[in-house]
Amino acid sequence: MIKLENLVFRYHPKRPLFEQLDLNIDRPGIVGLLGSNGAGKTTLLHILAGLRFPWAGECVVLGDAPRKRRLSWQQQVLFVPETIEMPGQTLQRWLKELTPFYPRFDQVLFETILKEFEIEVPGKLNELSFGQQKKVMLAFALAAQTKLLLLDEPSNGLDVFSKAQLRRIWTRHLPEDTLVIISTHQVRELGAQFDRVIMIDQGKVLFNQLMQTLNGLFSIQRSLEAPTAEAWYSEPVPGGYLALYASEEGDPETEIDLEILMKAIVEKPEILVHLQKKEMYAAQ
Amino acid sequence: MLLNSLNRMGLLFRIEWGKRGKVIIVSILVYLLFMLISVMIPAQYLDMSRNFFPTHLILGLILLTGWQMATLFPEWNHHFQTCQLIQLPATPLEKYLVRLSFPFLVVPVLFLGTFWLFRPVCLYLCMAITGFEIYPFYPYEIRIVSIIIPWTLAMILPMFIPGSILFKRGHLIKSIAIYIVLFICLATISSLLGLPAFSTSSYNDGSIGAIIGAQFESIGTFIKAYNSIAKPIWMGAVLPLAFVSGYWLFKQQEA
Repeated sequence: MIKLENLVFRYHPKRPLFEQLDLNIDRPGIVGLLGSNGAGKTTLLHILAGLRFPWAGECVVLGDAPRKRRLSWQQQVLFVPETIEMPGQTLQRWLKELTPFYPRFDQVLFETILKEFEIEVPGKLNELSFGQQKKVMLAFALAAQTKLLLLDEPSNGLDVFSKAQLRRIWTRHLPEDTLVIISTHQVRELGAQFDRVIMIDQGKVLFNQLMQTLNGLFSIQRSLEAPTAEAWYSEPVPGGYLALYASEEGDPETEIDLEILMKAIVEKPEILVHLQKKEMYAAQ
Repeated sequence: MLLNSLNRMGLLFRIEWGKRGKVIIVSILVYLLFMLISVMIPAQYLDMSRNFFPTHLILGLILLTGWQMATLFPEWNHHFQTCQLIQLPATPLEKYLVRLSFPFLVVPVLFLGTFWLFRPVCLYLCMAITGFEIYPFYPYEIRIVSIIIPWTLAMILPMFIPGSILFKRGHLIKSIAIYIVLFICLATISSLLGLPAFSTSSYNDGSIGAIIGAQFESIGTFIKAYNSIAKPIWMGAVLPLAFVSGYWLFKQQEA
């Protein structure tokens, strides 16, 4: 579905953002795109959506080069930016204008999602709060049923209840053949939804793993006392410590805390070597 | 395929008209109101020039089409709107043509239509106030509407297409500034080289005003001197270049 090879992108000729970036995603599902500020998450989404052009390298998304912005390709890809500015139109008029461009748009699904979000739009769209505008846009994005959905910080601006609604909604209504790539910092809230996690830093993909694999490779343990030296990473939390360990054979599978894993990787980059070794082992 | 494309262009036009329609109609009405007010002053002194209405016709068209050209792509100032425009499933050519239809077709047609309807109202009001006699129909207006206006729009507006796409803010002013600088440079170089483009026949004092005035006069001299080749070059090379480069810039626009 997505293949990037030796991708180069720069905002300034002397300051590369991506140098020789490789990435491969071959099946639908929900992919979490993680990384620190300035790592290039949004830029990567822009490149995948054809909104920015790579300087060099190969970029194939749904079998075509995004920079060509072909009509049939654009009908299958939708990018939702972090900041939403809805127009000063009624919802009906906005839908009437936009939906003919998306052949798979499902009006019933759109209304269902809005109902689940508990949103009513009596007036103009730009009169809604930022969070409500975001919900309308997310409902539109899901109802458009494109094959690739790129979401930049979708839960920013949503309250706690809305975040839970969002998780429920895309578990229920996401088409099976859709690949969703979510760039987010809120890994604790959305992490459980991911089928795959990609972490980028300093212009490179640090890892690109299935959640299932990560859950098998690491375990998170909570303890009252300071963890032993075997722990890759630990941090104090109210009532004790939270520690990340490498799983041994026979250990029960636990759900990985992506925030802890990210912090652990920043503190101990050798975790990546551990990941790569396991990956090579699995490949053999 | 063509029908699909025309259908999409119709949909795009509907979106665009939704954004611009009100502004276009209000600005035309405001201009015509200005014309109505301004017609009363000369009418009171029975001193209305026969060029009064044609001047308003041309001035109004230049102002309104210039405004449309200046706001050809206002999306570039807003990230969300830029993303929406670029990723909307329609070909870049369809989006480009629909946008250009506003300064080149929609506004001129609407303005001309309302102008022709509104002029008798102006004249009637003048007559009511001062007993001013309605001018007969100007035969040369046909020439103005059918030749001079399309020609002027075709000569001037396309120059601003690349600028209006390339620059994110104040693009019209930047475009105008670039063309003025280019023009003054060319005129100055031609004067230094003693080419016939430069003429100071009416300026003998050497002041800055005279020098600048001479630069502007030079374009008339240039057109007179090279009339036979200027038009083919302009229509054959410069105009297509403006349209094609504008399209290319639009196609390459990033968010």
